[in-house]
Amino acid sequence: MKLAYFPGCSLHSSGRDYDKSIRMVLGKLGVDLVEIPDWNCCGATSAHVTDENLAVLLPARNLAIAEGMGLDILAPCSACHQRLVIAEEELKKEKFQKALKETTGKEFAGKIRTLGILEVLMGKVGPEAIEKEIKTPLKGFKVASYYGCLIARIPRVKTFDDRENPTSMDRLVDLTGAEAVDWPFKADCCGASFGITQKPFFHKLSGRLLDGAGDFGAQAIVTVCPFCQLNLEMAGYKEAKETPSRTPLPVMSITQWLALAMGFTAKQAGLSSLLVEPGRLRETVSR
Amino acid sequence: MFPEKAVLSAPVDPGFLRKVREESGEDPSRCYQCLRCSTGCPLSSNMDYTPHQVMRLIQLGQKDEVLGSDAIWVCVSCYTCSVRCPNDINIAHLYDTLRQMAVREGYEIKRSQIPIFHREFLGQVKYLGRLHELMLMGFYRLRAGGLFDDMDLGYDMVRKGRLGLLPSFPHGGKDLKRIYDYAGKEAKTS
Ligand code: SF4
Ligand code: SF4
Repeated sequence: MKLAYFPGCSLHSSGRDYDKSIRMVLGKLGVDLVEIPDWNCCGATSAHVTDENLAVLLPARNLAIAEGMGLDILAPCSACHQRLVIAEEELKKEKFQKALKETTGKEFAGKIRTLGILEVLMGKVGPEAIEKEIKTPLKGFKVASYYGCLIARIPRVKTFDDRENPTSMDRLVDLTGAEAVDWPFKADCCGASFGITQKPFFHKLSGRLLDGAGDFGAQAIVTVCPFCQLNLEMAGYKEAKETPSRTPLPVMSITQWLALAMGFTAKQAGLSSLLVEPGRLRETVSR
Repeated sequence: MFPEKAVLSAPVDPGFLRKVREESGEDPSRCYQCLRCSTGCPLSSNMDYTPHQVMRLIQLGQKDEVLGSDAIWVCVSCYTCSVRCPNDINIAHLYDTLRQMAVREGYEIKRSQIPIFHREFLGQVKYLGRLHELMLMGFYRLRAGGLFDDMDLGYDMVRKGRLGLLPSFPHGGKDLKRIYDYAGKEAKTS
């Protein structure tokens, strides 16, 4: 299987271990990723909050390039994924088709679509193929799979997972030998887009998630969105600075977790770059 | 449930509902106050008006109350309300339109850091095609204040290789300039 890859800005920077683990894991599972040449930022929250046209045209340019490659897109970041999927819908309108042609000379006919990482892993690759590659089962760990708000919440579009109770990541966690805990905050918002501008709201939302995962017995949190990952990590990091007696939960991307179960080393999976290091996990996985 | 007093004391703008409907493509008059949106909103307890109240205010032509509200800036765009509304109102998208109207019409924005951040973000994407996290933080803090906040966090992130120090070469070429020019032109005519 071959996919056009849209890493997005975050996976080239703070989320680069997510990027690396995606390439490792999908490489092993026989998925070829071709990075979209000269891709541009999707505009994220800043575009859709302030300018309707930027919100559609910035992602549209990437869609058009990928369609030229004849490949569906993998966009692991939930924010990019949402913006690309919404742009696919908006580009059905003549107004935006014309604007795309006028500004970039490119066209988009809707022949390809944008997938998230869970759809690629659980929908395209499939659980059987993944199970065959599990070399170091992560037995004895309880994990909270955290989906975040955006991955299953795109209005008027059929999403891969259930909007209110997504389960594909829980099944993936179970495949790795660990136990996915049932917890009630799995698709609640972490406040990432306020991480910089509105700190009190950000702490309210992410604090509740960290505490909640702990209350339900999780020893780690896994995520699909690089913003959620960084956000929850930062919240835990800050908590540990302020109250050294507290040990915050480690938070990592689902593909880092999967990489460990597939036998990649802690170093390859980027564990040492986490702000909150997962102590006990290191004793289980390959060095 | 609903702050009738505020409504009665403020002047009615009879064209507001239509303007909102046209600009957003969403129809707030479909709202029948079931409260699903407000019940699920993670920040409703921090808002001066919760989402169902904003819908009612729009129906009642309360332009100043809506565009001058804190609520439209407290909204974190999580889309929970949008996918739950039984009447298919994409409230999160409607809020984008309301924020754009509020900025355009010069309403006072109490959380002025938010538009500053978005401006810095989009400005950087315009010239570089991609976002550079560290640079964005720097410019944002210069404009919004608190330049030395979170220094220990930033230091640890750089140390662990989680923040690149230098931006990459520009991407997107002339396309991006033309996209921004187009958006700028459209914004002026709306
Ligand atoms: S969920 Fe929809 S119909 Fe119900 S109160 Fe909110 S906006 Fe109105
Ligand atoms: S999108 Fe905004 S109004 Fe809707 S639930 Fe989320 S925070 Fe509340």
